[in-house]
Amino acid sequence: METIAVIIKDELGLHAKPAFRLAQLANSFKSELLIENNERKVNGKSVLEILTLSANKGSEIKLVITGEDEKNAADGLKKLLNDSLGEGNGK
Amino acid sequence: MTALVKVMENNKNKTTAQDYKGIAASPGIAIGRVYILDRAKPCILRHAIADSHIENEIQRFNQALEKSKTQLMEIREKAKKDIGSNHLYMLDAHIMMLKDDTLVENTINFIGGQKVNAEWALKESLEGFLKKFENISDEYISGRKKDIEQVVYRILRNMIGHHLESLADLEEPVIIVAHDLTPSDTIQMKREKVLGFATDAGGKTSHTGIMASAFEIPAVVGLKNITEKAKNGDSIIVDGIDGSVILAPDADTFHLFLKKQQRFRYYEKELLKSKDLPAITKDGQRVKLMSNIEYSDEVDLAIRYGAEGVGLYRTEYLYINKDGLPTEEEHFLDYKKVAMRVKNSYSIIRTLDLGGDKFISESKTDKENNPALGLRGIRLCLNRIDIFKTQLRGILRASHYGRLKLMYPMISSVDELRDANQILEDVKGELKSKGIPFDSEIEVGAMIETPSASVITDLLSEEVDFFSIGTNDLIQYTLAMDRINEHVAYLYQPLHPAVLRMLKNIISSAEKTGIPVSICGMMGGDNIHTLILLGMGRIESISMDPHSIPKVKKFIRQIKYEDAVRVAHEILKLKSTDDVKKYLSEEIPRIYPEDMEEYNFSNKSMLSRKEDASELQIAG
Repeated sequence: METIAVIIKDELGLHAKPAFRLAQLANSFKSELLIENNERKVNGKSVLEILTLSANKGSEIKLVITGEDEKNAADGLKKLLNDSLGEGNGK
Repeated sequence: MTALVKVMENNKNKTTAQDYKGIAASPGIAIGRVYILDRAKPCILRHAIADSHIENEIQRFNQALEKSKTQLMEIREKAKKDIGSNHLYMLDAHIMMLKDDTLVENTINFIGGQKVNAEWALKESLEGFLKKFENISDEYISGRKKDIEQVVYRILRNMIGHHLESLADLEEPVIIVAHDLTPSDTIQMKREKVLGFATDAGGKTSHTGIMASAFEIPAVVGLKNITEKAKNGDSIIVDGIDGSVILAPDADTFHLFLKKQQRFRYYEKELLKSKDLPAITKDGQRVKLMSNIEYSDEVDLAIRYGAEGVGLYRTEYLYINKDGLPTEEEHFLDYKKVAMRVKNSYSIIRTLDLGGDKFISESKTDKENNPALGLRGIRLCLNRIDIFKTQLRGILRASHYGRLKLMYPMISSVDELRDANQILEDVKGELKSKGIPFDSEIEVGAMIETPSASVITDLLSEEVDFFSIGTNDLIQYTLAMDRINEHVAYLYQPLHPAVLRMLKNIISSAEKTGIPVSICGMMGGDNIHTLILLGMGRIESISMDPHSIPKVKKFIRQIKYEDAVRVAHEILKLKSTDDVKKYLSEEIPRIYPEDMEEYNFSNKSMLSRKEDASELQIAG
């Protein structure tokens, strides 16, 4: 299991565009991705569910990745998050 | 009889909660079940499936997903060329939503778990998401609801197997409840599957109203929010005589309306008995009663109802709901059919009058802010001479097979008439040089339906052989009211002094120049309006929806021309619509005490505001 914690920096929050990128990338891996925000957990491969998280600017979200390619997946997601979403500080 | 009246009165007090008032657009009583036609959303019904069908349903769902994806990819490809890659993001988002992990999984689980059809399962999954989105305060994210809906509706439509839900698919007879109906809805409709219409929008002269009349389907329009009140499968009564709709009627109400329905049908049958007699007043004034038609196949109905010919063939339907424009051959064959079926008289083919509440599907013309005042009628034809010429060739060629006249819509100047006639001459020349036969003496007329045309009829008369007054548009343009806007539908006042004066001017001026004038708007189908028009001067013919012909004929055969002249003369002195209505409601029953009861029954108008009279008639 890999986890990544992120604080959303974007003014618009975790809005449609980054949510799509996130889900798109998550779908390219075999591992499962759960995203948590305020105790809510959603399927990170579903862009619609990510949107329902309603993660605003400043929200702390946690990504939990489990599966055979979890290492790769975590690296990829971290990179995406660092590039476009906010501060990733993967543990 | 009195007992029945009492029941009705009692009932009237009971049923207020489910009784909705609208505008009576097509007479008759329809009793049946609600079918909501929702343009925006496909209408999905739940049905249970057997275990053995689960796999099949899932497969259907997957196929619809694939198909939707292909469609979106095609749109994306096209958009790439048209708008550049910057704006493709939204389409990418849609493509991704389409295959959304949770949406797909929920739907598949639902099909298997609940053993229901894939459409219903998808709809349930969609609603689950929409609910979650409703709780989101962030406007930006909750705004994505629309995107999800669009995507899901696309999948649903692909599963249902056609572009949009259509009236062609009705399996059992129903009463259509809709916001409004478009020509593409009604053109696919199977007449026998539709018992009645109830719509939120529209007035008597909206497309729904005109079509319902043409098909003899009871209709009430302008109900404002009936689509919110009615549910699929509810019992409903549409009273196209008094303009009301009753939802979930109780047993008493149901029986009363069943009686009213029988009385109405009997009354219609009685009227048809005089269909082969001429329309002539008691003191010998003769007028031709003709039919307005929307499709060439309607000619038979018109003749059955005693029409002497076709006073207005609206040709827009040849253009609507098809890919591409009609070919010359399609025009020709269609008009030829009309020409050959109308034997001892003639048919007037009106050239294309697109615009206003008619449209070409898939918006082949640019959107206009104010289509009623935009590029429509003759303006469009003079702008698209290719389209115009194709139709003119079709009409001319058909004129060889029966007597046809042709007529230009939306004329507002002499220049337009001259231009149109010049094009007609060019087309005649082309046909002649090719040796194609046509009626070289074909008569040409102008629709008088704009205020500008109506004040220069003396000038226009030098360019054409006849006039036909299109009262619907003339009223709309004279009173500056949009007749498809339900908020101003009440302003549609044929008895407004401005309208009456305008009509009088047109008729008098035509008389002076010796050019025949006809009526082809909805005013012609109304008894009282007919009386007024006849009283204004010499009218060659009155053209109306076929089903109105027997009623108007019976009426004309009972009145005196001299009364009509006097009434017309008197009302032209009055100052307001209300004054005119008041005068008529006193004067007409005084002159014709007996006939008016039947009139009240068959056609709700200003005179039947004396509601009790019409109920007595029903009960009696």
